[in-house]
Amino acid sequence: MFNIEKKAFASQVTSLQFINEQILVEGTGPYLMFFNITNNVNFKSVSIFKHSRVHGIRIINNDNCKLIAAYGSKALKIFEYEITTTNNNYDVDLKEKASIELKDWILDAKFLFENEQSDIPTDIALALGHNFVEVYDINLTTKKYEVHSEVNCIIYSAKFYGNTLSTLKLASGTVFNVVILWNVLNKSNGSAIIQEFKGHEGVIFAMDFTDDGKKICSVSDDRTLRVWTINDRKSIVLYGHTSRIWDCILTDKYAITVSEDTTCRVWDYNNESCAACWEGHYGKDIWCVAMSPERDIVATGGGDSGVRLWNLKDLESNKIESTSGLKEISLPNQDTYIDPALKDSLPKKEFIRNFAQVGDKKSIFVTNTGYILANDLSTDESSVLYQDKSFCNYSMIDVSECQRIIGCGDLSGNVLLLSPDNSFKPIKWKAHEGKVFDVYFEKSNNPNIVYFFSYSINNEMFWNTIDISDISNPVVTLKKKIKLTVNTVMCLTYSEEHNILLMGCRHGSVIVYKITNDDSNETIEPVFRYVGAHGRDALTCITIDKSLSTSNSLVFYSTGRDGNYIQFRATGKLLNGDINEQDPIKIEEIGKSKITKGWLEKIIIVNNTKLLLGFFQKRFFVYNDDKKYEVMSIACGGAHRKWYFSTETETINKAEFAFYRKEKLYVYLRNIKYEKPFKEEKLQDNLHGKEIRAIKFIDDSFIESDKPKEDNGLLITGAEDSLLKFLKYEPESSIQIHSRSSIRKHTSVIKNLGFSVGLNKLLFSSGACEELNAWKLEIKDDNSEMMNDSDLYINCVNYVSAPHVSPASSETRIMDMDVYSLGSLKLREYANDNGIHLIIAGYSDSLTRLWIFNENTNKFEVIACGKLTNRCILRTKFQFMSFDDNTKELIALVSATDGQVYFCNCTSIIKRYLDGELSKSEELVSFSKITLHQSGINGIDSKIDMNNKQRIILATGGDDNACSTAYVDISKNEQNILSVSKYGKFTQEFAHSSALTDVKIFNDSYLLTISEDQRLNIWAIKINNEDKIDLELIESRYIDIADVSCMDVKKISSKIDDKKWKVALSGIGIQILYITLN
Amino acid sequence: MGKSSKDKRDRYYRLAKEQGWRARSAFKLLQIEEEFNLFENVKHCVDLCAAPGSWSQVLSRKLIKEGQEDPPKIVAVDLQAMAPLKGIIQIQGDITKQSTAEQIISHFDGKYADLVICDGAPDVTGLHDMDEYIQAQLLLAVIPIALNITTHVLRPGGTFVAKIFRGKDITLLYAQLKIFFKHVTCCKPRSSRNSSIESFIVCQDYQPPKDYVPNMSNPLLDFSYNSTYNNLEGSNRVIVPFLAAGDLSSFDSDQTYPLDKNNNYQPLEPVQSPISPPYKTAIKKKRTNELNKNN
Repeated sequence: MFNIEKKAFASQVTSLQFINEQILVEGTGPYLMFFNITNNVNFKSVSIFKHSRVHGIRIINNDNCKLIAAYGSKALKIFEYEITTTNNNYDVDLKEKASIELKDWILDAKFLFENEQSDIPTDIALALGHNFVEVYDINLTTKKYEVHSEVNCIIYSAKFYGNTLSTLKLASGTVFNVVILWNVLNKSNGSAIIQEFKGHEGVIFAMDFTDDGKKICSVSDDRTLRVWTINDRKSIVLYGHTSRIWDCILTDKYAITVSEDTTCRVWDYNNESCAACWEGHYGKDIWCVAMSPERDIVATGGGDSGVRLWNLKDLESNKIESTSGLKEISLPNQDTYIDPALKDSLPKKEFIRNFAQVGDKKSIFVTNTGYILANDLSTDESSVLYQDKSFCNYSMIDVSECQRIIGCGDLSGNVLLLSPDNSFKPIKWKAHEGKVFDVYFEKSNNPNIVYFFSYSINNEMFWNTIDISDISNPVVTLKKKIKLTVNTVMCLTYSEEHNILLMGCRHGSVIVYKITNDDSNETIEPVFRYVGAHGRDALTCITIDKSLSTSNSLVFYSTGRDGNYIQFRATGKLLNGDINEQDPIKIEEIGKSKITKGWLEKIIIVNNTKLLLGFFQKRFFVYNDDKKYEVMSIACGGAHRKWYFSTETETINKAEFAFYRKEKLYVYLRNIKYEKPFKEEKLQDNLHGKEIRAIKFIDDSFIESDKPKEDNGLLITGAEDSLLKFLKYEPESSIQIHSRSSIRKHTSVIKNLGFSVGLNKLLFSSGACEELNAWKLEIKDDNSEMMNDSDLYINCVNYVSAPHVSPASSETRIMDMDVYSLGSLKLREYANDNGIHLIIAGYSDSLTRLWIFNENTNKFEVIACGKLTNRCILRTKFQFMSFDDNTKELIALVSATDGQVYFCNCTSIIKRYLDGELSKSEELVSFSKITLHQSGINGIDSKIDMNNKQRIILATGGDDNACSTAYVDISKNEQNILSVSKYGKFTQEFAHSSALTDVKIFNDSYLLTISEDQRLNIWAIKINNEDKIDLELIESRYIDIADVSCMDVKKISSKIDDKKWKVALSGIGIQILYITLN
Repeated sequence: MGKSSKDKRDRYYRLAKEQGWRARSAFKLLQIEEEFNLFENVKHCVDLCAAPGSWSQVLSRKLIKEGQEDPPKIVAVDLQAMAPLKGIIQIQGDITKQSTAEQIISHFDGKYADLVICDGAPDVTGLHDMDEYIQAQLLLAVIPIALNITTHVLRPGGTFVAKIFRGKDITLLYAQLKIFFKHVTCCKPRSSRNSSIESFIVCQDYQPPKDYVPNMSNPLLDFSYNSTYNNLEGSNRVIVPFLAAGDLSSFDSDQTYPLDKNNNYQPLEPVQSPISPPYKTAIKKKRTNELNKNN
């Protein structure tokens, strides 16, 4: 009756294996996914198991034989495969060769050969959970051998070594913290045990051997990696992971481990040190790790559904551990440059005061004696550019981005322009009355015009234009005087298109100036301040994103020493020149993300990629925020106030970093020639790192598009990791789910999401710590023929948080909420309620609250609150009803851990609130309740009966494995008081074998239920002529994600005859199913 | 989570400390007992995976009375040592070993247990299929010892109570237990959180099948799905009745309760400190800054 089709899928990545240097196979859920890592394409995905997930993949790849064995739980399948190539694109032909279901859990599988010379396997050995081994022929038709270890216990992990049965050994990782190495084919009469490795203080999760089988490593619950040498008592114990270690690989040179702490560590175990700690997964757990056959590439698979690639060669180049990798520049001998005639009049102590970097060519430094020297980095020779007594003891210095001008400022208000290669004569003038606090260059749209800023006491800043059309004769003219309102300017940037100057200050604020004329005598004053963007910490950099800015909106980023970076959008009449308008400019935070616990110092945009620069602990780092990984880090001793970084490309193969420490200048010139062996570090997107607790399809009406699609594939999710995410899948091309936007605003789990359309398209999110937020959604799809990622713009902006209303000390969770737009509801015929939204929220302290959110005032307000039951509330839902007399009522359905559903009429409270008759929050009371379950009701859905406007059809799912349905007839008396005039219910006690977690009514009379038992059931709700209500099971389907806790269902086409729905299920991961009614 | 935070979030955690229970799980057994009268006429009782001992504590408080003439014999078994309890005989040993079974029986003067309980659970990894499997294996490792005919730990007609995870393959475990017991019920005490996957299986009236010969060295293995007996999907699945234990006037484990309004609230120390975790050396090294950290 229903055709159920599996579509998109993402969940914990439980296994990875390379076929060769180009192709990686991923096991996630029941799927084998094939990737071409040279172009980042997932060219094939096959669901191979009915009710298991892929825990292990073993591959034979030689000229005579190509086999894949995949196992999971008790199932094993063997495939023959053939890789084909057309136009540089791969495809794979996968033929199932054999399949078996065992009695016990499979922990390892190993292809076996007749002898060491053979390259075609004849058998396969399987290590099983109760510490025994079964050997089957390659067609899985005959069990050829079976042996039980003399150590009888459950094992958590097992690893084979050996290519033939006679040489086969097994390492068993027992629950008693011991690694037991034993001979599978025991040729002696005595014990089969070769050696027991004791020392771990927890169970053993994985082991691996070196190629020669002489060493074995093991990882454990005790957070250690241990490397053992066989027939030797000695072991190496390595600490570093901060949580359990799940998987490991051992080579002669390195051990690689992945952990619950979301890091992958590379251990140079021979030197007992950690060579790298790779961070690229989120939330919790990296489950698996694989290495390419040539041992260059490492792949890691996370609990966040992401797959990351790491280049082992980068180990040498991306982590600079000591200053020995850097060029060290000291002052030359003073006698070589200090004029003997001047010497006595100069300060006695000589050292580098300040420096500026001219790309990879020169380092310019000012000394304490007022010398400005240029060090040619290719020859390491220093020469004097300039000397002036006024630069003794103090000087500020900067170089223009075009590297053609050096600017300096001194103690007494002089500024100086110099050419790094003596193209023009030094230009010096007295600009200020006192000390020059700092100087800045800023480029303009004209390559021959450079802006130069200097500021001093009395809050004055001068903005000069330097015309270098003729480099031998730069022309300096004053553009503007700027009135400062802050003591310390940290950074500034100018948008020529909008004539807007943005300034960042020490106390975390953004200050906006507007240029409206060419009058150079005018002193401009701030037109707007955005206060406290980075709390009380310094705002270190402002960078404009030209690709996202338009004539009506200016998009820019700020970074701060609070470790955050923020995306802003400025809009308003001011951008186009109208300064007199009221509210001329509006600045909104579009996104904010915490990158480091240290200082974030700068954001640069290179080839449309955002690189974030900062200091953490004793290192400088470059972080690629688009791909979410650390591109490079350099041990530089700590944070420096004066430093320089520049790169030509986002991969920073060619880059320069310089800093000044202990009277020396250190320069790192990076020039890496090799090609990366894969296209991108991120092979598959990271989704949520913890359980997803809310999922919704985004309706087409929310997407602004010229050519709307029938099925947009957009989803929004909220999770235990407190992230709000926008996701997208391509219904027709791949099972992959891509992350399109990620917002961190909630501090704890997001449990619920709701849409509402008023003046804007709004999203509401709520969850633990009583957090309830309103967001404005702007989604634009420039739907071109070519599906290009950058065509989809998602802005989730302007959040307003509801105030906390519970006592400050309590930690109340919002368990559920539902939203209704009063503008569309039109409860009051006589007024326009557009922009007013109603929210019903259920709390863990047993209260239920009715909130109003008003878009006109951007305010949340509680209008009613009630204790309907003395139990934790689990679900809340609105049901709208219109009666025969055309009156309308809004009813709230509330369920709790007591198994009851409570009915509340919200209508009168809302009307009185809207009419201004409500002076304070009212008590919310229920007019009726019905008992449907023994304990908690985890899912509730309702609708109005098609044939009876006064009848609510209700469906619920309980913790008690039961599914209930009821009809409830509502009647109204003359005082407009609602009551239940009649009801009937039916409970299917054995609906699932575990707790139901959500229910959804679709197509009028069908019901979807999901449960912890990982089944999706479809029921028909039936009401006969005698008003007897019943549930009939139509379909039951195993689902591939665990802990499934919420779902959404949406009709795909608006056409009535098109009976096709998409269902999103989420828990640990996401599964999308398409259901068609035949 | 800090102590006061846990106190707010979990009323039973607070209550356990107030009433001197070693763990909040004591309430789970108390609520199951209320529903099933587990302790009626119990003379011999075994608590498997007993540490830290809250279930043994319940047995001790409920079954051992002052001045009892013939007090019930209660044996608690765990790999870990635990603090002594009045009237409880402790055995430190592996519950899957034959010798442990014999040791238990030696305390019963040739009699069998009327009740075997097991609140044991491995540390969960986060891979649900794996966790559910390991939990089931723990139970199935216990079953031969509980049901072993040669050593007669559980008497025919006796009761077995154990923790389970109601996950994707729970019907396989149900199918297996139904071979040995007349009545199998899945019970969720109200003190166990709604949001937790944990439940308890109450197996009553032990009736071993005649041809069943358990063997310690060949443990029971899970059943498989097959179309005649237990389907993977659909209605033809082995499902046992569900019972929510504890009445609605008891505290709600999911509810947030306010702490004492008069600010008299003092967070209490746990009755029993946690047993030493496997990562204690790693933690110690981290504290003393010995970790081989790359950053």
